[in-house]
Amino acid sequence: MRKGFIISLAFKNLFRYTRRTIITSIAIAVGIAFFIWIDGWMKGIEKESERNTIQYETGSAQIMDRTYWDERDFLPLRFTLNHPDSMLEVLKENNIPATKRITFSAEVYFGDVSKQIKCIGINPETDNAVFNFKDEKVLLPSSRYLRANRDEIMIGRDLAENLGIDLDAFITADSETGTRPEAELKFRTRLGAYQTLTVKVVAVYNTPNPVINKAIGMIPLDIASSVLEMNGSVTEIAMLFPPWEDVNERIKGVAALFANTKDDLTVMDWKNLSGNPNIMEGKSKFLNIFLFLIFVIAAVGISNTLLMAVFERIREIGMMRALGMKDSSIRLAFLFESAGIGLIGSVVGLAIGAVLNYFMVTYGLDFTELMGSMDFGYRIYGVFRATWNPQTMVTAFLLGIISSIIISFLPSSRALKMEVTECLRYQ
Amino acid sequence: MIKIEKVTKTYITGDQKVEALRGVDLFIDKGEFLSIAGPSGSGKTTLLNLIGCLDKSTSGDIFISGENVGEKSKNELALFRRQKLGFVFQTFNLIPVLTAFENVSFTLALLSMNGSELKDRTMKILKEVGLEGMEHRFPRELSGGQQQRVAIARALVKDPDLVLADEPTANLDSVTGEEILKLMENLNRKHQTTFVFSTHDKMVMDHAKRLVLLHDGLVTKDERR
Repeated sequence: MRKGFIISLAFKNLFRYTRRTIITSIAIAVGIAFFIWIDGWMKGIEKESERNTIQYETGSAQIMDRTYWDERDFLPLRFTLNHPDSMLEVLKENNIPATKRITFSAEVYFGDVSKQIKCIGINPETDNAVFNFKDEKVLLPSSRYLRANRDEIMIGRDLAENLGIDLDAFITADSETGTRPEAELKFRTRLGAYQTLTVKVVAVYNTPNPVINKAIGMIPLDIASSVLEMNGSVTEIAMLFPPWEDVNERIKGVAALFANTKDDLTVMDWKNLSGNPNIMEGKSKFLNIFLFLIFVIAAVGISNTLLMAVFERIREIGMMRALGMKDSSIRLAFLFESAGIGLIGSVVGLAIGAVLNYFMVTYGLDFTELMGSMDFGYRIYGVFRATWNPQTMVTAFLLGIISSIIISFLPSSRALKMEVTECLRYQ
Repeated sequence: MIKIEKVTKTYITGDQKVEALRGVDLFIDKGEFLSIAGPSGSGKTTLLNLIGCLDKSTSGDIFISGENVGEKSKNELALFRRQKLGFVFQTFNLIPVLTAFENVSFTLALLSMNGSELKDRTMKILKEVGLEGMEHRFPRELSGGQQQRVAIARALVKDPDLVLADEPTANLDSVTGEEILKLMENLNRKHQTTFVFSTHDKMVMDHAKRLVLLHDGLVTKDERR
């Protein structure tokens, strides 16, 4: 029997129960639209979180002493990079933007209020090659970027609020001549001595990374080096790789550059540096389970509809078999019919998903009020935006059609298991 | 043409055994217009199903056009039905989404026929059953009698060796039923196609050229007219 006839029959049957076809197609469409929407959203969050982590927190990767990395929770200043400038030279020769930093633990006092923070000594000349704190959008009005060899600090907006700094007064004062709030930093030097440093708050930044806004302060590297008694050593060198390049490959390349040094170094990517690398994988698994459940719901709908369609047509199936139509041809007709429902649902789902995603990409959803400064493991603040993911759209589209076809096997097989005479007698 | 030898058919439902046919012998020649009659439960539909290769006998042999259909596999039987047998059902069993033309040409499409031959043969048989001009109508747009005409055209369009009709007039009023019977008689005469139909309607029996009466799964009367 010609396939064209079977397709034509399937197409006509598709519009036999228009309402049912529409309802089933809607079930598929909703599943696919959700799939595209949620996936685009999650991918958007992940991508933005990645960008915010790299631009404000870690860079693409960092070189550090292996023991420092192993004991990173304590920020041990005795395990450092002792020849950072020669390392930076090597990186520069290899066209890798890099900057040296000193990260240490400190307590910041503002009046009666104090907060435990992670303080970072940054080189104002080179930090901008890797990080993005010089961006005008990031710094609050009247802020001024750090200058070398001055007792000053940049802090995050949330930290400033928590310390009780009057931000309204801060942003209206002149950055050069206006009164700047003063804070006190208390910390232990590399040799374990207690030290205090009074710093002027010259900048308040509001990055899209809540972790940075909440508990990080930045002072000039030379000041940090001096007060911490670092003798020119630093805790890490942060690097920036082009986003289209494979970070792991670049890390291998950087590690190879310093393979012959006496120091026991390690190179860590941004995922490891920002926390538990399994968090994102865990969330991806959760997302997959969620998407699977959406499809199970859609599959139950399709299965139910097709089961009804098949059993309403049992006598017709019996007649076709009596006239000599092969079971495989009858099954094929049902498969084409299901594929048709899947196709309609997929096209509609794709369209709805694309529209939803467009709004999520363009406007996003603002969770500022809901989240406050919480980060949920993602480095995103306020507005959650989606991203376009053509691969997911194609997958969802094909999944809609293929799953419809697979699901149709069960009801058509049940009907074809019956004897022809049984089909003809079926009431 | 059709030789039925000592055919029995037993259905087993749970612990119960029902002997629908208990050793039927029958010979049907080419071109016969034969009615299998009998009360409900006499085994007429069972016999028709066996001749129509829709079911297999418990014992005994059925030969159609020289072939022992009992020895055929499921797929071979489907092919045999497709090529050699035509069916007319009590409830017409037309495909509602296809027009009269498409319902009839469906059987030719099963034989992989297409193009002008398919069209010519379909139009010719539709004209013969009196449905010229109605070929584009869907079943819902046709009366019961017209639908049964489409079913008869569908059975005859492939020029089968045998047409089996299960109570073909049971769903029709008496006038329409009479018309359908006359139509089948004419087609039988013209094409020399063998017609075997089951019935318990006296009017249908009166039209038959041969009447086979069944009772409790046995042939009790075989009368030629």
